[in-house]
Amino acid sequence: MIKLAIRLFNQNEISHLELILSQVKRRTKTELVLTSINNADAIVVTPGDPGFDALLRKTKNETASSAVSIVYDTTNASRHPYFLKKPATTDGVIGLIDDIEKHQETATTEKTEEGRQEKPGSPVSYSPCISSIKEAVEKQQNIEISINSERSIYIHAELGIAYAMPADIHDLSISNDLKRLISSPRKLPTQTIDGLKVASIASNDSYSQINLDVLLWTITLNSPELFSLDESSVITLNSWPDFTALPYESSYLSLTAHLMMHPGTIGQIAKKSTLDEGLVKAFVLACASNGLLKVLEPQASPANLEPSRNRASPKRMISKVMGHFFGNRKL
Amino acid sequence: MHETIKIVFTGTVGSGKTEAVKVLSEIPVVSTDVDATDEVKKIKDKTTVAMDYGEVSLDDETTLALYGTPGQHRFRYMWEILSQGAMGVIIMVDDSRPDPLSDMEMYLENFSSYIEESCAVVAVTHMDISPDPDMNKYYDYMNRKGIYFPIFNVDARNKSQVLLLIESMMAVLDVA
Repeated sequence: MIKLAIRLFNQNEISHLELILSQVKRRTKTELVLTSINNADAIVVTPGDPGFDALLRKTKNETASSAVSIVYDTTNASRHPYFLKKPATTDGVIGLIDDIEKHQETATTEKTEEGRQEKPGSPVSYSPCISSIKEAVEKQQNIEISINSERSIYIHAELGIAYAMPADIHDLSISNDLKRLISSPRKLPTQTIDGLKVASIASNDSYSQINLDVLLWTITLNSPELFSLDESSVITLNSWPDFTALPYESSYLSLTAHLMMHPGTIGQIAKKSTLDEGLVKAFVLACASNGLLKVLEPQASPANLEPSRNRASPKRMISKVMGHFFGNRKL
Repeated sequence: MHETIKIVFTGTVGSGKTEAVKVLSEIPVVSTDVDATDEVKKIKDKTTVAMDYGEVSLDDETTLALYGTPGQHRFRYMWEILSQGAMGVIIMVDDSRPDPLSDMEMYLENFSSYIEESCAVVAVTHMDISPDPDMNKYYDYMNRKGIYFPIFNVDARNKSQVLLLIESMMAVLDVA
Protein backbone atom coordinates (compact mmCIF):
# COMPACT_ATOMS: atom_id res chain seq x y z
CA MET A 1 0.00 0.00 0.00
CA ILE A 2 1.21 3.48 -0.82
CA LYS A 3 -0.13 6.39 1.19
CA LEU A 4 -0.53 9.57 -0.83
CA ALA A 5 -1.12 13.09 0.42
CA ILE A 6 -2.27 15.87 -1.90
CA ARG A 7 -1.68 19.56 -1.34
CA LEU A 8 -3.93 22.42 -2.35
CA PHE A 9 -5.87 20.61 -5.08
CA ASN A 10 -9.21 22.04 -6.09
CA GLN A 11 -12.31 19.88 -5.76
CA ASN A 12 -12.34 18.92 -9.46
CA GLU A 13 -8.74 17.76 -9.29
CA ILE A 14 -9.40 15.75 -6.12
CA SER A 15 -12.42 14.06 -7.69
CA HIS A 16 -10.46 13.24 -10.83
CA LEU A 17 -7.55 11.80 -8.84
CA GLU A 18 -9.88 9.69 -6.69
CA LEU A 19 -11.43 8.27 -9.84
CA ILE A 20 -8.01 7.41 -11.29
CA LEU A 21 -6.89 5.80 -8.01
CA SER A 22 -9.95 3.58 -7.95
CA GLN A 23 -9.17 2.48 -11.54
CA VAL A 24 -5.55 1.85 -10.62
CA LYS A 25 -6.67 -0.31 -7.69
CA ARG A 26 -8.48 -2.62 -10.10
CA ARG A 27 -5.42 -2.98 -12.35
CA THR A 28 -2.58 -3.45 -9.87
CA LYS A 29 -1.83 -5.24 -6.65
CA THR A 30 -0.76 -2.00 -5.04
CA GLU A 31 -3.41 0.01 -3.29
CA LEU A 32 -3.11 3.78 -3.10
CA VAL A 33 -4.89 5.60 -0.33
CA LEU A 34 -5.17 9.30 0.38
CA THR A 35 -3.88 10.34 3.77
CA SER A 36 -2.51 13.32 5.69
CA ILE A 37 0.93 14.75 4.95
CA ASN A 38 2.41 13.44 8.20
CA ASN A 39 1.60 9.82 7.36
CA ALA A 40 2.29 9.92 3.64
CA ASP A 41 4.78 7.90 1.62
CA ALA A 42 4.42 10.46 -1.15
CA ILE A 43 3.13 14.02 -1.37
CA VAL A 44 1.56 15.26 -4.62
CA VAL A 45 2.27 18.92 -5.17
CA THR A 46 1.60 21.42 -7.96
CA PRO A 47 3.87 24.30 -9.06
CA GLY A 48 1.18 26.78 -7.91
CA ASP A 49 1.66 25.64 -4.32
CA PRO A 50 3.63 28.25 -2.28
CA GLY A 51 5.58 25.40 -0.67
CA PHE A 52 6.43 23.79 -4.03
CA ASP A 53 10.14 24.66 -4.12
CA ALA A 54 10.68 23.89 -0.44
CA LEU A 55 9.02 20.47 -0.73
CA LEU A 56 11.09 19.53 -3.77
CA ARG A 57 14.22 20.71 -2.02
CA LYS A 58 13.27 18.70 1.03
CA THR A 59 12.80 15.52 -1.03
CA LYS A 60 16.28 16.01 -2.45
CA ASN A 61 17.83 16.60 0.95
CA GLU A 62 16.14 13.85 2.91
CA THR A 63 17.14 10.23 3.13
CA ALA A 64 15.37 7.48 1.24
CA SER A 65 13.12 6.76 4.23
CA SER A 66 11.33 10.12 3.89
CA ALA A 67 8.18 10.85 1.91
CA VAL A 68 8.84 11.70 -1.73
CA SER A 69 7.33 14.70 -3.46
CA ILE A 70 5.50 14.11 -6.73
CA VAL A 71 5.17 17.01 -9.15
CA TYR A 72 1.70 17.18 -10.68
CA ASP A 73 1.78 19.37 -13.77
CA THR A 74 1.36 19.36 -17.55
CA THR A 75 5.14 19.29 -18.06
CA ASN A 76 8.04 18.31 -15.82
CA ALA A 77 9.76 21.68 -16.04
CA SER A 78 11.75 21.09 -12.84
CA ARG A 79 12.91 17.67 -14.14
CA HIS A 80 11.85 16.17 -10.83
CA PRO A 81 12.40 12.40 -10.57
CA TYR A 82 8.78 11.81 -9.46
CA PHE A 83 6.39 13.35 -11.95
CA LEU A 84 2.71 12.76 -12.72
CA LYS A 85 1.45 14.31 -15.92
CA LYS A 86 -1.67 16.40 -15.55
CA PRO A 87 -4.47 15.34 -15.96
CA ALA A 88 -3.60 12.07 -14.26
CA THR A 89 -4.20 8.83 -16.14
CA THR A 90 -4.18 5.26 -14.82
CA ASP A 91 -1.06 4.44 -16.87
CA GLY A 92 0.69 7.53 -15.49
CA VAL A 93 -0.12 6.57 -11.90
CA ILE A 94 0.91 2.92 -12.43
CA GLY A 95 4.29 4.08 -13.79
CA LEU A 96 4.70 6.26 -10.76
CA ILE A 97 3.92 3.37 -8.39
CA ASP A 98 6.95 1.50 -9.73
CA ASP A 99 9.17 4.48 -8.99
CA ILE A 100 7.83 4.91 -5.46
CA GLU A 101 8.13 1.19 -4.70
CA LYS A 102 11.76 1.29 -5.82
CA HIS A 103 12.26 4.22 -3.47
CA GLN A 104 10.68 2.25 -0.60
CA GLU A 105 12.92 -0.75 -1.32
CA THR A 106 15.91 1.54 -1.19
CA ALA A 107 14.70 2.86 2.15
CA THR A 108 14.71 -0.57 3.72
CA THR A 109 17.98 -1.84 2.29
CA GLU A 110 20.34 0.91 1.33
CA LYS A 111 23.47 -0.88 0.30
CA THR A 112 26.49 0.42 -1.51
CA GLU A 113 28.68 -1.54 -3.88
CA GLU A 114 31.26 -1.78 -1.13
CA GLY A 115 28.73 -3.59 1.04
CA ARG A 116 28.00 -0.97 3.68
CA GLN A 117 24.68 -2.24 4.94
CA GLU A 118 22.52 0.45 6.49
CA LYS A 119 20.74 -0.39 9.71
CA PRO A 120 17.14 0.86 9.81
CA GLY A 121 16.08 3.30 12.53
CA SER A 122 17.65 6.42 13.91
CA PRO A 123 20.16 6.23 16.78
CA VAL A 124 19.46 9.86 17.70
CA SER A 125 16.62 11.35 19.66
CA TYR A 126 16.21 15.08 19.48
CA SER A 127 15.62 17.69 22.15
CA PRO A 128 12.24 19.47 22.29
CA CYS A 129 13.91 22.46 20.62
CA ILE A 130 15.11 20.62 17.55
CA SER A 131 11.86 18.66 17.44
CA SER A 132 9.89 21.92 17.36
CA ILE A 133 11.93 23.26 14.47
CA LYS A 134 11.79 19.99 12.56
CA GLU A 135 8.04 19.77 13.13
CA ALA A 136 7.56 23.30 11.77
CA VAL A 137 9.55 22.41 8.67
CA GLU A 138 7.58 19.19 8.17
CA LYS A 139 4.30 21.07 8.44
CA GLN A 140 5.61 23.99 6.39
CA GLN A 141 4.75 26.39 9.19
CA ASN A 142 6.44 29.73 9.71
CA ILE A 143 7.12 30.16 13.41
CA GLU A 144 8.58 32.62 15.90
CA ILE A 145 10.69 31.22 18.73
CA SER A 146 10.90 33.74 21.57
CA ILE A 147 14.33 33.83 23.16
CA ASN A 148 13.34 36.53 25.64
CA SER A 149 10.99 39.51 25.73
CA GLU A 150 13.11 41.36 23.17
CA ARG A 151 14.56 38.79 20.82
CA SER A 152 13.26 35.92 18.75
CA ILE A 153 14.29 33.58 16.00
CA TYR A 154 11.95 33.47 13.02
CA ILE A 155 11.68 30.31 10.95
CA HIS A 156 10.49 30.61 7.35
CA ALA A 157 9.87 26.91 6.77
CA GLU A 158 8.75 27.24 3.16
CA LEU A 159 12.02 28.86 2.14
CA GLY A 160 14.18 26.79 4.49
CA ILE A 161 15.65 29.85 6.18
CA ALA A 162 15.66 31.51 9.58
CA TYR A 163 16.21 35.06 10.77
CA ALA A 164 18.19 35.61 13.95
CA MET A 165 20.23 38.36 15.57
CA PRO A 166 24.00 37.92 15.18
CA ALA A 167 24.19 38.24 18.97
CA ASP A 168 22.26 34.97 19.25
CA ILE A 169 23.90 32.94 16.54
CA HIS A 170 27.06 33.73 14.69
CA ASP A 171 29.54 31.47 12.96
CA LEU A 172 29.97 28.50 15.36
CA SER A 173 28.65 30.26 18.47
CA ILE A 174 25.27 30.76 20.07
CA SER A 175 24.29 33.12 22.86
CA ASN A 176 23.83 32.00 26.44
CA ASP A 177 20.17 33.05 26.23
CA LEU A 178 19.61 30.78 23.27
CA LYS A 179 21.52 27.98 24.93
CA ARG A 180 19.37 28.33 28.06
CA LEU A 181 16.23 28.27 25.97
CA ILE A 182 17.11 25.15 24.04
CA SER A 183 18.30 23.43 27.23
CA SER A 184 14.80 23.65 28.59
CA PRO A 185 13.06 20.28 28.77
CA ARG A 186 9.81 22.02 27.92
CA LYS A 187 8.49 22.60 24.43
CA LEU A 188 9.81 25.80 22.92
CA PRO A 189 7.76 29.00 23.26
CA THR A 190 6.70 29.20 19.63
CA GLN A 191 3.88 30.80 17.75
CA THR A 192 2.84 30.53 14.14
CA ILE A 193 3.39 33.69 12.10
CA ASP A 194 2.21 34.78 8.69
CA GLY A 195 4.18 35.76 5.60
CA LEU A 196 3.79 39.48 6.27
CA LYS A 197 5.51 39.16 9.64
CA VAL A 198 8.35 37.21 8.06
CA ALA A 199 8.68 39.85 5.34
CA SER A 200 8.95 42.60 7.95
CA ILE A 201 11.70 40.70 9.76
CA ALA A 202 13.50 40.09 6.47
CA SER A 203 13.72 43.84 5.94
CA ASN A 204 14.97 44.47 9.49
CA ASP A 205 18.72 45.15 9.48
CA SER A 206 19.09 43.81 13.03
CA TYR A 207 18.39 40.30 11.80
CA SER A 208 20.61 38.10 9.67
CA GLN A 209 19.30 35.44 7.36
CA ILE A 210 20.66 31.97 7.93
CA ASN A 211 19.94 28.66 6.33
CA LEU A 212 17.90 26.28 8.51
CA ASP A 213 20.56 23.61 8.06
CA VAL A 214 23.10 26.06 9.49
CA LEU A 215 20.78 26.88 12.41
CA LEU A 216 20.31 23.22 13.33
CA TRP A 217 24.03 22.52 12.78
CA THR A 218 25.18 25.32 15.07
CA ILE A 219 22.64 24.68 17.81
CA THR A 220 23.59 21.01 17.87
CA LEU A 221 27.32 21.65 17.96
CA ASN A 222 26.78 23.89 20.98
CA SER A 223 24.42 21.61 22.86
CA PRO A 224 25.31 17.97 22.23
CA GLU A 225 24.24 17.11 25.77
CA LEU A 226 20.63 17.72 24.72
CA PHE A 227 20.63 14.78 22.36
CA SER A 228 20.81 11.13 23.05
CA LEU A 229 22.71 8.82 20.79
CA ASP A 230 23.17 5.09 20.88
CA GLU A 231 26.93 5.21 21.20
CA SER A 232 27.39 1.56 20.25
CA SER A 233 26.15 2.34 16.74
CA VAL A 234 28.58 1.95 13.87
CA ILE A 235 28.24 5.19 11.97
CA THR A 236 29.23 6.84 8.73
CA LEU A 237 27.91 9.80 6.71
CA ASN A 238 25.79 9.89 3.56
CA SER A 239 28.02 12.59 2.14
CA TRP A 240 30.49 15.26 3.13
CA PRO A 241 28.69 18.08 4.96
CA ASP A 242 28.39 21.15 2.77
CA PHE A 243 31.25 23.09 4.31
CA THR A 244 30.82 25.86 1.74
CA ALA A 245 27.66 26.77 3.71
CA LEU A 246 28.15 25.24 7.17
CA PRO A 247 30.63 26.88 9.55
CA TYR A 248 33.49 24.52 10.30
CA GLU A 249 36.90 24.06 11.80
CA SER A 250 39.64 21.79 10.49
CA SER A 251 38.90 19.00 12.97
CA TYR A 252 35.48 18.60 11.31
CA LEU A 253 37.17 17.85 7.99
CA SER A 254 39.33 15.28 9.72
CA LEU A 255 36.31 13.69 11.40
CA THR A 256 34.41 13.62 8.12
CA ALA A 257 37.33 11.87 6.44
CA HIS A 258 37.41 9.30 9.27
CA LEU A 259 33.66 8.71 9.22
CA MET A 260 33.51 8.44 5.43
CA MET A 261 36.51 6.20 4.98
CA HIS A 262 36.60 4.14 8.20
CA PRO A 263 33.12 3.90 9.82
CA GLY A 264 33.06 3.03 13.51
CA THR A 265 31.48 3.89 16.85
CA ILE A 266 31.95 7.31 18.44
CA GLY A 267 34.59 5.86 20.76
CA GLN A 268 36.45 4.21 17.89
CA ILE A 269 36.43 7.37 15.80
CA ALA A 270 37.67 9.40 18.78
CA LYS A 271 40.49 6.97 19.41
CA LYS A 272 41.51 6.76 15.78
CA SER A 273 41.41 10.51 15.20
CA THR A 274 42.90 11.27 18.63
CA LEU A 275 40.20 13.90 19.03
CA ASP A 276 38.14 14.45 22.16
CA GLU A 277 35.13 12.13 22.38
CA GLY A 278 32.84 15.05 23.27
CA LEU A 279 33.88 16.87 20.10
CA VAL A 280 33.29 13.74 18.03
CA LYS A 281 29.84 13.30 19.55
CA ALA A 282 28.89 16.94 18.96
CA PHE A 283 30.02 16.74 15.35
CA VAL A 284 28.19 13.46 14.72
CA LEU A 285 24.98 14.87 16.21
CA ALA A 286 25.29 18.02 14.11
CA CYS A 287 25.60 15.78 11.05
CA ALA A 288 22.48 13.92 12.24
CA SER A 289 20.57 17.21 12.54
CA ASN A 290 21.34 17.80 8.85
CA GLY A 291 20.21 14.30 7.84
CA LEU A 292 23.74 13.14 7.03
CA LEU A 293 24.19 10.38 9.60
CA LYS A 294 23.98 6.78 8.47
CA VAL A 295 24.01 3.85 10.89
CA LEU A 296 25.55 0.65 9.59
CA GLU A 297 25.09 -2.97 10.53
CA PRO A 298 28.12 -3.89 12.66
CA GLN A 299 30.83 -5.66 10.68
CA ALA A 300 32.25 -8.99 11.80
CA SER A 301 35.82 -7.67 11.69
CA PRO A 302 36.76 -5.19 14.40
CA ALA A 303 37.69 -1.66 13.39
CA ASN A 304 41.35 -0.75 13.21
CA LEU A 305 41.86 1.58 16.15
CA GLU A 306 45.40 2.59 15.37
CA PRO A 307 45.58 6.39 15.40
CA SER A 308 45.93 7.61 11.83
CA ARG A 309 48.79 9.87 12.74
CA ASN A 310 51.01 6.85 13.42
CA ARG A 311 50.64 5.56 9.92
CA ALA A 312 52.90 6.29 7.02
CA SER A 313 51.35 9.35 5.40
CA PRO A 314 52.84 12.43 3.80
CA LYS A 315 52.47 14.10 7.18
CA ARG A 316 55.34 16.48 6.73
CA MET A 317 53.92 17.76 3.43
CA ILE A 318 50.41 18.00 4.87
CA SER A 319 51.76 20.00 7.76
CA LYS A 320 53.54 22.42 5.41
CA VAL A 321 50.44 22.97 3.26
CA MET A 322 48.22 23.38 6.33
CA GLY A 323 50.69 25.71 7.99
CA HIS A 324 50.92 27.98 4.97
CA PHE A 325 47.23 28.27 4.08
CA PHE A 326 45.55 27.78 7.43
CA GLY A 327 48.02 29.01 10.03
CA ASN A 328 47.57 27.23 13.31
CA ARG A 329 44.57 25.19 12.25
CA LYS A 330 45.32 21.52 12.77
CA LEU A 331 43.52 18.55 11.31
CA MET B 1 67.54 20.63 -0.91
CA HIS B 2 64.52 22.29 -2.46
CA GLU B 3 61.35 20.26 -2.47
CA THR B 4 58.28 20.62 -4.69
CA ILE B 5 54.83 19.39 -3.73
CA LYS B 6 52.38 19.09 -6.60
CA ILE B 7 48.59 19.36 -6.77
CA VAL B 8 46.79 18.85 -10.10
CA PHE B 9 43.52 20.46 -11.19
CA THR B 10 41.78 18.54 -13.95
CA GLY B 11 38.34 18.58 -15.54
CA THR B 12 36.41 19.51 -18.63
CA VAL B 13 36.93 22.64 -20.72
CA GLY B 14 35.48 25.66 -18.91
CA SER B 15 35.11 23.91 -15.55
CA GLY B 16 37.28 26.50 -13.76
CA LYS B 17 40.72 24.88 -13.56
CA THR B 18 42.60 27.98 -14.66
CA GLU B 19 40.60 30.18 -12.26
CA ALA B 20 41.27 27.82 -9.34
CA VAL B 21 45.01 27.85 -10.01
CA LYS B 22 44.92 31.65 -10.35
CA VAL B 23 43.21 32.30 -7.01
CA LEU B 24 45.84 30.30 -5.13
CA SER B 25 49.01 31.12 -7.02
CA GLU B 26 51.47 33.68 -5.68
CA ILE B 27 53.00 34.15 -9.12
CA PRO B 28 51.26 35.20 -12.32
CA VAL B 29 49.92 31.96 -13.72
CA VAL B 30 51.84 30.58 -16.67
CA SER B 31 49.20 29.53 -19.15
CA THR B 32 49.56 27.82 -22.48
CA ASP B 33 46.29 29.24 -23.77
CA VAL B 34 45.61 29.50 -27.48
CA ASP B 35 42.65 30.75 -29.48
CA ALA B 36 39.97 28.09 -29.45
CA THR B 37 39.15 26.81 -32.91
CA ASP B 38 36.94 23.80 -32.32
CA GLU B 39 33.70 23.29 -30.38
CA VAL B 40 35.43 24.94 -27.42
CA LYS B 41 35.02 28.27 -29.25
CA LYS B 42 31.34 28.15 -28.30
CA ILE B 43 32.32 28.18 -24.62
CA LYS B 44 35.30 30.55 -24.48
CA ASP B 45 37.80 32.32 -26.72
CA LYS B 46 40.97 30.84 -25.25
CA THR B 47 41.65 27.30 -24.10
CA THR B 48 44.54 25.57 -22.32
CA VAL B 49 46.41 23.15 -24.61
CA ALA B 50 49.27 21.97 -22.39
CA MET B 51 48.89 23.21 -18.84
CA ASP B 52 48.43 26.10 -16.44
CA TYR B 53 51.11 26.53 -13.86
CA GLY B 54 51.03 28.46 -10.63
CA GLU B 55 53.00 28.16 -7.45
CA VAL B 56 53.00 28.97 -3.77
CA SER B 57 56.10 29.21 -1.62
CA LEU B 58 55.35 27.16 1.49
CA ASP B 59 58.71 27.91 3.12
CA ASP B 60 62.30 28.55 2.05
CA GLU B 61 62.73 24.94 1.02
CA THR B 62 59.33 23.97 -0.29
CA THR B 63 57.21 25.05 -3.25
CA LEU B 64 53.65 23.99 -3.86
CA ALA B 65 53.23 23.62 -7.62
CA LEU B 66 49.70 23.94 -8.98
CA TYR B 67 49.06 22.39 -12.37
CA GLY B 68 45.92 22.78 -14.46
CA THR B 69 45.54 20.14 -17.15
CA PRO B 70 44.09 20.80 -20.60
CA GLY B 71 40.40 19.93 -20.70
CA GLN B 72 40.06 18.28 -24.09
CA HIS B 73 40.14 14.50 -24.07
CA ARG B 74 42.59 14.42 -26.98
CA PHE B 75 45.21 15.91 -24.67
CA ARG B 76 44.76 13.19 -22.08
CA TYR B 77 48.38 12.06 -22.46
CA MET B 78 49.18 15.32 -20.65
CA TRP B 79 47.00 14.30 -17.71
CA GLU B 80 49.25 11.36 -16.90
CA ILE B 81 52.42 13.39 -17.31
CA LEU B 82 51.16 16.15 -15.02
CA SER B 83 49.75 13.87 -12.34
CA GLN B 84 52.95 11.88 -11.82
CA GLY B 85 54.14 12.40 -8.27
CA ALA B 86 51.25 14.67 -7.36
CA MET B 87 49.98 14.82 -3.79
CA GLY B 88 46.39 14.81 -5.00
CA VAL B 89 44.11 15.65 -7.87
CA ILE B 90 41.14 18.01 -7.87
CA ILE B 91 38.55 16.98 -10.45
CA MET B 92 36.47 19.94 -11.57
CA VAL B 93 33.06 19.13 -13.03
CA ASP B 94 31.05 21.73 -14.95
CA ASP B 95 27.43 21.11 -13.93
CA SER B 96 26.13 23.07 -16.92
CA ARG B 97 27.46 20.54 -19.42
CA PRO B 98 25.02 18.03 -20.94
CA ASP B 99 26.11 15.01 -18.86
CA PRO B 100 28.32 16.12 -15.97
CA LEU B 101 28.01 12.81 -14.08
CA SER B 102 29.56 11.01 -17.04
CA ASP B 103 32.26 13.68 -17.19
CA MET B 104 33.08 12.99 -13.53
CA GLU B 105 33.05 9.25 -14.12
CA MET B 106 35.43 9.63 -17.07
CA TYR B 107 37.95 11.60 -15.01
CA LEU B 108 37.66 9.25 -12.02
CA GLU B 109 38.34 6.32 -14.34
CA ASN B 110 41.20 8.01 -16.16
CA PHE B 111 42.89 8.90 -12.91
CA SER B 112 41.85 5.73 -11.05
CA SER B 113 45.26 4.11 -10.72
CA TYR B 114 46.71 7.40 -9.58
CA ILE B 115 43.81 8.11 -7.17
CA GLU B 116 44.30 4.70 -5.51
CA GLU B 117 47.76 5.84 -4.52
CA SER B 118 46.81 9.32 -3.37
CA CYS B 119 43.57 11.28 -3.16
CA ALA B 120 40.94 13.04 -5.26
CA VAL B 121 38.57 15.84 -4.42
CA VAL B 122 35.61 16.64 -6.69
CA ALA B 123 34.59 20.26 -7.25
CA VAL B 124 31.25 20.82 -8.97
CA THR B 125 31.10 24.24 -10.63
CA HIS B 126 28.55 26.37 -12.50
CA MET B 127 25.59 25.13 -10.45
CA ASP B 128 24.35 28.71 -10.50
CA ILE B 129 23.89 28.36 -14.26
CA SER B 130 22.49 24.85 -14.19
CA PRO B 131 21.36 23.42 -10.84
CA ASP B 132 20.56 20.03 -12.34
CA PRO B 133 21.94 17.50 -11.57
CA ASP B 134 21.95 18.67 -7.98
CA MET B 135 24.54 17.62 -5.40
CA ASN B 136 22.42 14.69 -4.22
CA LYS B 137 22.87 13.01 -7.58
CA TYR B 138 26.63 13.32 -7.20
CA TYR B 139 26.42 11.95 -3.63
CA ASP B 140 24.30 9.03 -4.85
CA TYR B 141 26.79 8.29 -7.60
CA MET B 142 29.74 8.36 -5.20
CA ASN B 143 27.90 6.13 -2.69
CA ARG B 144 26.95 3.60 -5.35
CA LYS B 145 30.55 3.42 -6.46
CA GLY B 146 31.86 3.23 -2.90
CA ILE B 147 33.85 6.46 -3.34
CA TYR B 148 34.10 8.55 -0.19
CA PHE B 149 36.27 11.42 -1.34
CA PRO B 150 35.19 15.01 -0.67
CA ILE B 151 32.78 16.58 -3.13
CA PHE B 152 31.67 20.19 -2.93
CA ASN B 153 29.79 22.70 -5.04
CA VAL B 154 32.22 25.59 -5.44
CA ASP B 155 32.84 28.79 -7.32
CA ALA B 156 36.37 28.45 -8.72
CA ARG B 157 36.86 32.23 -8.40
CA ASN B 158 36.21 32.11 -4.66
CA LYS B 159 39.51 31.62 -2.85
CA SER B 160 38.01 30.36 0.41
CA GLN B 161 36.05 27.70 -1.47
CA VAL B 162 39.14 26.59 -3.42
CA LEU B 163 41.01 26.45 -0.12
CA LEU B 164 38.27 24.17 1.23
CA LEU B 165 39.18 21.75 -1.57
CA ILE B 166 42.83 21.84 -0.50
CA GLU B 167 42.04 21.50 3.20
CA SER B 168 39.69 18.55 2.67
CA MET B 169 42.35 16.89 0.49
CA MET B 170 44.82 17.22 3.37
CA ALA B 171 42.23 15.72 5.75
CA VAL B 172 41.76 12.67 3.54
CA LEU B 173 45.50 12.19 3.03
CA ASP B 174 46.00 12.42 6.78
CA VAL B 175 43.43 9.68 7.41
CA ALA B 176 44.22 7.37 4.48
